[in-house]
Amino acid sequence: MMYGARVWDSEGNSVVFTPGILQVVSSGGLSMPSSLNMDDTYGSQIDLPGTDSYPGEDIGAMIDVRQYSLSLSVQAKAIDEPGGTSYHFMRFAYSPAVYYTRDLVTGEMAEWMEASNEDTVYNQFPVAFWEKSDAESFTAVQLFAVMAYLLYDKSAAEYKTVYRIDCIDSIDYAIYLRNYGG
Amino acid sequence: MTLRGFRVSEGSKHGLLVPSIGQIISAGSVSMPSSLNGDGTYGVDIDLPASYPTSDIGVIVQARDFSWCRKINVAGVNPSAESGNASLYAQNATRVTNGVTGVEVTQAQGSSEVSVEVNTAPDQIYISYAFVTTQVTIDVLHADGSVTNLGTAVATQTINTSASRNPETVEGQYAVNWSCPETTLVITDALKFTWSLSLTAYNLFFSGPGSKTVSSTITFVTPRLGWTKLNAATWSISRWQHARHDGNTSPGYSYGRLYWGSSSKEVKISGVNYEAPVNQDYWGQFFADSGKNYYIKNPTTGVMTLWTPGNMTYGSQATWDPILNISPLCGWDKGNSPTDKVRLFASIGYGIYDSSESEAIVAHTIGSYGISEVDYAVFLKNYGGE
Repeated sequence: MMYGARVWDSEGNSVVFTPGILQVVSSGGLSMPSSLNMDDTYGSQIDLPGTDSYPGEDIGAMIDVRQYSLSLSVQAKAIDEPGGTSYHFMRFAYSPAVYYTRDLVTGEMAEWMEASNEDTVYNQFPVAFWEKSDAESFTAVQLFAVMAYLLYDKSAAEYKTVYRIDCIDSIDYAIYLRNYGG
Repeated sequence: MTLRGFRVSEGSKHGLLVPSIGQIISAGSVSMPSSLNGDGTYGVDIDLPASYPTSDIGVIVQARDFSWCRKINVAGVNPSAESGNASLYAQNATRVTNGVTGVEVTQAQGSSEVSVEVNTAPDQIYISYAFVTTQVTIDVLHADGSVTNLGTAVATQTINTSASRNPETVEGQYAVNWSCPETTLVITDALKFTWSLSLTAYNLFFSGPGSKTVSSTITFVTPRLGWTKLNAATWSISRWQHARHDGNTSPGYSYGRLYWGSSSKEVKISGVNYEAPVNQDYWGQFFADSGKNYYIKNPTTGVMTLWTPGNMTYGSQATWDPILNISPLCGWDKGNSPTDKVRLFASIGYGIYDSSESEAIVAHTIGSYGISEVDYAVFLKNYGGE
């Protein structure tokens, strides 16, 4: 049996409010921080209501990147073709910028030291999600949003996914909670 | 602060309804417009029940489908070289190569005869006999229109009529060998042949000057050859050459002609030995399309400013703007607060290297090259006012 409160309108429509209903406890837009947190994870903390901690299965989060910027190293190569000289551009990691690797379990970000103008970038795109780390209960939701780079690390002779935290300007988010009330 | 609200419990679980809870006041799908708004911003407005501060509002927007625009250039690189032999034939056609207009020369034998003529008419006293000379200047014609000379006035051939006959025609296909030096090319190079046709006619019967010379030059040009070298080789340079004097007609005259264009009367250069690139790797890259509208978005005001890509002009690096990444970009265009509506923004975002400015930019396309429809949800807390 489901216990809750039912609200009716004059036309007979009703809504049931139960503890299991997901509620939007926070939503809006914000700018992303320019540095890592003290624990070397990255993101903006959105406090959940009260001082209680909530189990992860009671929480939901959606995050969209609204605005980002770019900087990278581009090298042009002139190519003589039958139609004339065309120009193709290779993309490389931008060595003055700081790139990070991310621990998939803890969410800790470590600086990738080898960024150089010889590391070919194949793709880049914004990534945003709830940084759960390996926690099981939460008093806050950490919103993670970075620019991901898929590249070839020439010195290590391997493909890597690395991240930059200085490219995401703003995000939109919504955080959902069930059993809000403890 | 004491939290006041409405609490519902079921066993040990509770739900708490308080004013600060966000409610979904609007959700669904909506089509995106095909053009900017009148103030230069872009998006669809979703009405709120009243005016609220932006801090009470949340919006999530996601693309359902999209289109995008680009141009691609596929270039052959890192080739190896392979030698080949070619014969070049003048055609009954003209073409423009590297800015030079001339008679077209290709590797296919022609089928349509054409000629050029020089003559002494109306000075009809020069009908005794005639000497006709052809020769050719050979240049490499570069992409910028400049030339590198390989040989000047070479492969000379002179024929003549005899004073003992009137009228008389002398003609035929004449070939003269010429040694082509080894020459490095780039694949945009072409060959330019400047043929000279000269007639010297003589007067044995009338008072006045004893001879007269008239001449003409005709430019022949190949397409861009796609070769990287001319190997040293003996070229056979052949032409159909014609000389005639005629005192029986009125007015009588002498003339010379150069014929080409058909298998029976042709200007043909054979024994051309070259190197051309083979087994190339092909690089394909996307570039911003100068025929489409791209916009730069002001992150504060949301105003979209038109950005025009370069038009990919050969030889002009600043006109090639490569696309670095492409992805949908959706969100709430916040604008000013408070507001009685939210603006849903959705475009295709491009990371582009603006070659003319030497910087990476983020540009957007909309409408038929953007996002046609989005799913969205608008959240509002303190719905009901203070």
